[in-house]
Amino acid sequence: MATTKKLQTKTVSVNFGPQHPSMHGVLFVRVELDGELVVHVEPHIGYLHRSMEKIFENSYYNQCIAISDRADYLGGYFNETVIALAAERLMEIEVPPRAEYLRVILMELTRIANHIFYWGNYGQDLGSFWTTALWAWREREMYYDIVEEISGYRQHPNYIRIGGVYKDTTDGWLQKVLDFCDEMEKRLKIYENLVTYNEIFLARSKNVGKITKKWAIDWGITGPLLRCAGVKWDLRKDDPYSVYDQFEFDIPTTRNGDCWDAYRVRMDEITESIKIVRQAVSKIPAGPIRCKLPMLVEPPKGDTYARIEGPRGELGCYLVSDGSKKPYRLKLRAPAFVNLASITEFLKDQLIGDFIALLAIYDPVMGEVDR
Amino acid sequence: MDEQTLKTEEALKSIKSSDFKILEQKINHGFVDLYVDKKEIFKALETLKKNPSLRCNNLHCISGVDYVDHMEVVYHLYSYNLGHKIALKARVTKEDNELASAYPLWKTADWQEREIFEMYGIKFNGHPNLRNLLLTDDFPGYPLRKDFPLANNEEWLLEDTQTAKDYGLPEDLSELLKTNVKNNGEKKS
Repeated sequence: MATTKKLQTKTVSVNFGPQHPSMHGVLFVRVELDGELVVHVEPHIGYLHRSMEKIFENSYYNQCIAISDRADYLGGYFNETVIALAAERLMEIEVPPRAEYLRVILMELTRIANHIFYWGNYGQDLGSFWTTALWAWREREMYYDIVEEISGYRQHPNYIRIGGVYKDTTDGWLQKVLDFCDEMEKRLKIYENLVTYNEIFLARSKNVGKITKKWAIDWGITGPLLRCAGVKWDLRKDDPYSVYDQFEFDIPTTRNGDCWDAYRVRMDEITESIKIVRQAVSKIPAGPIRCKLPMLVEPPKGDTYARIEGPRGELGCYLVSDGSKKPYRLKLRAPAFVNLASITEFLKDQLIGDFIALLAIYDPVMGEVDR
Repeated sequence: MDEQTLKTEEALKSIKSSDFKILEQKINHGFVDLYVDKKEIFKALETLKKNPSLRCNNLHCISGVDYVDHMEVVYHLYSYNLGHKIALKARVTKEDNELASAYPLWKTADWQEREIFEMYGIKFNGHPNLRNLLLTDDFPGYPLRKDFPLANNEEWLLEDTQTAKDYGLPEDLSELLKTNVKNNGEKKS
């Protein structure tokens, strides 16, 4: 007589990436699946490791700034500014106000471009094939035109200098920035209509994933992912650097901590960034754009930690100087690297169908993760 | 000296000598630097996290530094509730390079400690998965140590001059290459 056997299932191991159309950059995740359920996640990183921190130790400070663009290749201005801030803090120099304002304008424009890029890719990940992605690239092109005019480069600007910035604005550049803000505001409304309350988008992102306050702090998560869990914390307000204390803006937060909330926070941040850019353009003072410093600076002996609010969270720089022309140790605390460590727990016990939706809210830039 | 560092110094007075011993304390650009013995690092982290007047609930950065005669592990701590900024530092040497892991207290220590392990060879006891992260598993040496050979070492030069000869280039090219690479871009004195 045949006895009834208990049905046994076998787990299957699936390789995601490093080359996969919906994977963000060269991230490789080995996923153990039990049917549709993810039971184990094993991320492998380092495919884009360029030993950046070793190169920093053997380069002059101005070379470090040029190299650091390649870390977070979507937001070069942030990496440059954090290194410049750390060096300026050690040298105890004050940057001319016009340079500070230019930094703020460019950083906020970069944040807008970065979040728009996230919007486009996230839409694509959730099924709006190419429509959102190509629209986002079109918007980003407007940003690149502005950046190109002031720095000469598109993606790797190499514009911030220790003690100021590289060049003053060209005639009519500030007007172009304002035009960009106006255009973005119009297009944001179109985005909202197209994606934010789209039924399919809501079905795929609402109540998918759960980031809680305690869990996020335990994993050291910062930036939009922390704010979507309800922690109102932004370095621009809570530990102000540069001239951020002179602007009025809000810190958008949400409470649920699901995929849709992470998306919502970023979209609201674009609106706030536009506000900051408008205020900065109206307030920008005339004057010099750089301190009088030698080409090769020599910060005095000591160590310091500078941090700014990058598009993905707290971007830190631990700088140790031995008084020479090259940094003794320069560590970039990359927000994408620290955030991404938590995927082993975050993606576990989720459905494979939600996998990309959950991974994409990290907005990982592998250049920054691997450095 | 700003208000916050004064508050932090005041709060640090609540630490008892039975918790852990502070070897050195100084104010450094907005952070309060604390040097502790490496054997007490776990106790120090635990006290800073759980002491009600400190409550440093965020370990946001762990970095390693090689000072040639010794190495240093730096923990940057922050309190979301009280705003304390503390940099906890512990010294290790190349021979005596074992330290307690912060993983039981903060999960963010996972990847950050793995990175320090592969770059400096500092071992974190109690870490559940201490192996190479960015580098391959069979990578030789610890690249961020100061004695790690760079690409412009003698062996590499030798190989390069050989190929220069093979291609029928003038022999003095090797001398030229040597001076250029050795000076590493600095002006000749």
